[in-house]
Amino acid sequence: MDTVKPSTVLSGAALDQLRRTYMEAPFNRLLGIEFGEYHDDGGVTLQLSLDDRHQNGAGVVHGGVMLTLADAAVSFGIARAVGGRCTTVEIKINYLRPVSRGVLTARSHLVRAGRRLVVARGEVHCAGKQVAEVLTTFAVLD
Amino acid sequence: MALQGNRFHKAVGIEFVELHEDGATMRLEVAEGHLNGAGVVHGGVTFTLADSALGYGIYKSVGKPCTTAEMKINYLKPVSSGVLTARSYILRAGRRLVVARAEVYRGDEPVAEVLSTFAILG
Repeated sequence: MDTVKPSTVLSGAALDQLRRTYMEAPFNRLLGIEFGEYHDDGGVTLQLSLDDRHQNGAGVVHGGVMLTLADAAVSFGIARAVGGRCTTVEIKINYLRPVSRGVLTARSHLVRAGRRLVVARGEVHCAGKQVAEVLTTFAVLD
Repeated sequence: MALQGNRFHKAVGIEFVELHEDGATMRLEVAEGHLNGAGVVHGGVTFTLADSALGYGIYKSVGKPCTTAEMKINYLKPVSSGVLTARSYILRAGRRLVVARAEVYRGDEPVAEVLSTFAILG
C-alpha cells in the first residue's frame, strides 16, 4: 500500500482505543456489529450475525444493514491506516445478492489515501459469496 | 414491503409521514442509539431513512415489490439530535428499473442527498 505511510498506521494502545470507539458506537452496537480481523494491507474485517431485526418487509436483510456494516469497516480501516479521525463524505453501494440468514462480513480495502481525502472500497460477503460492493470517499479531519 | 412488516425500520425507529404522487416522506427522531463513535448520527441511519422513503415511494407508485440495486449518498452535514425527514422523488420509472433521488433534512437544513436505482421484481 504505497499511499499509506507506515508511520501513520495505528498499533498498540492507540489501535485498541480506536477499536473500542467503533465497537462501542451506539448504532454499531444496536445492529450487533463485531470485530473480525486486521489485515496486513491496512484493511479491517467486521462481522454481523443476522437475526430477524435486520430484515425488511420482504424477509431479506435490509440494505441499510449491509451499508452500515460496510461503512463501519471502511471507516475503521481508514482511521487505522491514516492514524486520525475521518468522516464519510459519500458512499455508493451496489447490492449483488439478497441474503436473509448467516453471518455477514465486511472487509475494507484502501484505494488511495491523500492528505485530505481517502478513497476506499468495501466488500460484504455472506456464506462465501459477495453480497454487496461499496465505494467510498472519506475526509480526514485532523 | 408493507411498512408494518419491516423489522429493520422498526428497530431503527423510522416512521411514515406522507405519500406523494412522485415519492414518499419518512421521519426519524434522533436518539442516542443512532449515534456513531464521534457522537453524531451514524451514516447508516441517514442512509436507511432515505432508503425507506425511496423504497416505499417506489413500491406504492409501481405497485410491485422492488429492491434496491444501488444507492449513492452524499453526507452534507453532521447532526446529533432533532428530527430527520427524508423525501423521495421518482425520476424515471421503467419496466424493470426505477431511478429516484431523495433528500434528507433536519428542519430546513439539508443533511444528505441520495441517488438510487431500484429493480422491480416480478
